[in-house]
Amino acid sequence: MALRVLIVLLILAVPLELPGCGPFLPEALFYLKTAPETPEAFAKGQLGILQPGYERKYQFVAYRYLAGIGLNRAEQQAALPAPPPEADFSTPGGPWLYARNQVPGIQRIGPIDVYRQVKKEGYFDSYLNCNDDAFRTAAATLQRWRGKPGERDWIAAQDVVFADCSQGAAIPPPTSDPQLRADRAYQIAAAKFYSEQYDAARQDFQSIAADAASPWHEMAPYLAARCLIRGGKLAEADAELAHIAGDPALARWRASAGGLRGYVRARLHPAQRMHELALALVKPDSQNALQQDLIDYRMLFDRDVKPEPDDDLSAWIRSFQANGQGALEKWRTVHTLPWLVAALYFAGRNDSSLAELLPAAAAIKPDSPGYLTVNYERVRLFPPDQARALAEELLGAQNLPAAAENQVRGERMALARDFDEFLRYSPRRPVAELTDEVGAPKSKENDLDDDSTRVFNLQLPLEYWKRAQVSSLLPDHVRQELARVIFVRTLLLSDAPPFDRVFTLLHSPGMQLFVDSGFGRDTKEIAKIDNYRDNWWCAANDPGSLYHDQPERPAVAPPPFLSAADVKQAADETAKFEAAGGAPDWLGTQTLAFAEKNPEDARVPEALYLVVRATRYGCTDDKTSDVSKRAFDVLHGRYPASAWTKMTPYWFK
Amino acid sequence: MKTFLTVAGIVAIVFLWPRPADPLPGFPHVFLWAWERPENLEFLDPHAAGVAFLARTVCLGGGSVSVRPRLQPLRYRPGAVLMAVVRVEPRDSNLPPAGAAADAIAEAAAIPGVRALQVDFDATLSQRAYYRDLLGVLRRRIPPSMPLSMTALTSWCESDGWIAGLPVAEAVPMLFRMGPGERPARSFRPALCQSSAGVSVDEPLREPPSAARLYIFNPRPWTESAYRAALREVRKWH
Repeated sequence: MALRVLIVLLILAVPLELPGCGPFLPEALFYLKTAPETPEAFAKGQLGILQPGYERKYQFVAYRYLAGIGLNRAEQQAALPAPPPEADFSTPGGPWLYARNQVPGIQRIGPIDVYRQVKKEGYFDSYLNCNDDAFRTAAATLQRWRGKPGERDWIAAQDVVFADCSQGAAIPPPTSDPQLRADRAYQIAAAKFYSEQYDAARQDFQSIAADAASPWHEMAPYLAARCLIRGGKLAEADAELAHIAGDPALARWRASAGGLRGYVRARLHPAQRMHELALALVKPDSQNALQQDLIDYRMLFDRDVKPEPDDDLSAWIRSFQANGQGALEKWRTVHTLPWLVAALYFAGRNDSSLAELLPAAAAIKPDSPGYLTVNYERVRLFPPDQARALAEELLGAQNLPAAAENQVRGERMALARDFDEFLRYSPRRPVAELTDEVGAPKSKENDLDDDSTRVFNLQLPLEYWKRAQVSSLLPDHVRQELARVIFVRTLLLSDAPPFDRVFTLLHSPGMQLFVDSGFGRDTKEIAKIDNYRDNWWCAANDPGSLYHDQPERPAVAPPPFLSAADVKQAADETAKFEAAGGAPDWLGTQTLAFAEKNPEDARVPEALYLVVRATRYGCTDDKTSDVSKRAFDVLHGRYPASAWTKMTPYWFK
Repeated sequence: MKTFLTVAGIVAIVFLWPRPADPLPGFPHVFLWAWERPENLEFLDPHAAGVAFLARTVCLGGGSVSVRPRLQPLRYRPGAVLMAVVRVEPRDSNLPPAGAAADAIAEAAAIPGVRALQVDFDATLSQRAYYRDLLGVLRRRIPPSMPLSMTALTSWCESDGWIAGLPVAEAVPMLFRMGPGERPARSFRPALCQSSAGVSVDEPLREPPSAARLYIFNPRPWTESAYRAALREVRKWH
């Protein structure tokens, strides 16, 4: 017991600096499921092979092109704008502060807190109370006051207004100065607005609206309507904004009032508003409102508003994102390309509907934005001979996007008639890499995707690995990795594994039983321990081997080019690998057996040291502790003076 | 004999040392972490579980502090035990004076109903001295009776011991989103790490943590059924 406790204490004392988040080791992506790999090209109508998992803004763009509406250049930028710069929270109120702090004799002030907490029992939230427009307006108004007698007084009042952005309810004092009167009335109304006194602020803005001498009287009705929104009186706000939008005297505020009314109606009448937006979004030349309309439309889509709008855009997105529900019936009614794509995507090889769908798909011309999607589905649905011919035709096309090429190669590989065809279509070019986010791939080399490594790891007998390893159809780095796996597999299949090879393996944590898809092991040096425990291999079906690329069990039939004897051979070999367990257990068992028979062999102490190391850095299971302890005991019991023994102060649970 | 006595001494220290008292007496033994997304926790019985909610994110960089408040609604039953969590994110190596950062964090302690403050800062090796100073100032900025908690990378609790002596009531080792192959320990040596642990509903543990207080993370918005399922799991452990 004491020894066990000591061992535990010593384990806890091992210095380690491991992060609690991540790490996010790069994962190769051969196509993306939630967004096109090049949104700019997608916005121009180069849709590639459409995915139902794409975000809805991409579904909208796809629909516009598939429906023949397309997007003009301004619409493209409105639909898929460049990502905004990261919000800068460091200098809220910047334009105002810059202008204000330049005024001589005025004490400088620092950043303004523009967020205000909602004060309500059982509720916590903050909201943006003072937005950038407020600070720009204040900065512009200050220019009007520069050098005039009331300048300092006006600035002092404006400081009071902006102090209300985050908390408090201070109101600037009224003034008797006729020059300041109109601006002060506006400052008082604004201070009430920012301090959540919406009814009082609304009354003040209405008074300002009635004062033709005030420079704020045109803007005031719009601000009075905003008081209604902030106060939660949406129906009244809707009516008032409709009036502003229709008043020729307030033409300058028509667009702002219309935008704000859309916001109000999305909350008052979500289903109706979503339907209106869907109809507006499919109108050509809708660039002026498209960006905001698409934001509002997606927001309402996310809220799953009922009743669901029955316009074609909404119905198509819903169907395409819900396994093509109703798509075939709809296509039979309308015979349009969006519905053909949705119906084809979810059709099965044995569906009777193929007799209607495939001829319609064949009629899609190469210049159609749906051409690649439709023909990829044809490859998937065709009988093998036709599918192979079409896949090769697609792969021979100029300017085939890399993600589409990868997907077509995957289909073609699955149709391989012989092993060379399998190898020819196995390599793919990563289009992105996933760490904690998706980014451009750092490696430009072709790699293997999961579909081919699954066949290699679980369905190919060793003889095929050897053929692949010398085939020029695979990239050199893949062949090198295959060679290492062949070394390990040969050893595990041997009835009497030579100890010199076991010894080599003990020194080579980068040698594994399975070939990795994508970028492979993060630590490229074979002899180096990987800091993230990707060393040697794990026991089959070990739930703890999450990060060890355990191949998935094959859910598909073996490739047709394998004979029944090949399939049996692969199954026998796989059974032996499973019986071998994880690498530390297998290496330990082999080493301990050799040490028992060959205690004088000079390599034994080092090998025992390496076994204990493997039980620390390799993939463990419930037998590993025993292996670790046995190796430790033999090392310390038989070779107490060895340098390797001194380097092995403890064993590992 | 001498070795035996040494080992026996170590064992005695480990097993007989008095367990530290609850650093958050009177607080629930389960807290739900409510991150920045709309969360409705009105189903939560205030006596059964507390709410540790992300209240603000304090960004440090360019020698100054900027604050991003929580912008998503949090609903809870009146009387809920609230712990404000402040995430600290350094943007570059030009960190502001620790006092300025502490002031921005301390403001979360003034949120009505908040009874404890938790700091979430994945400080790198080079930021640890700064973090230590920051916590020292922060401890003095908030009411003496308000417990100050911190989240901790498991490595802080496992091995390097740098957190010893920090002026916090507890350090909560986060036993989820670990490195590949890492399996979280059941308990930790530093006293600060012994009373609490952070777990996630989407990462089942091989061994339940021995800590008496659990903070539970959910990558999705909490629902009553998710909470009940998490509670069932937790009850198996204690």
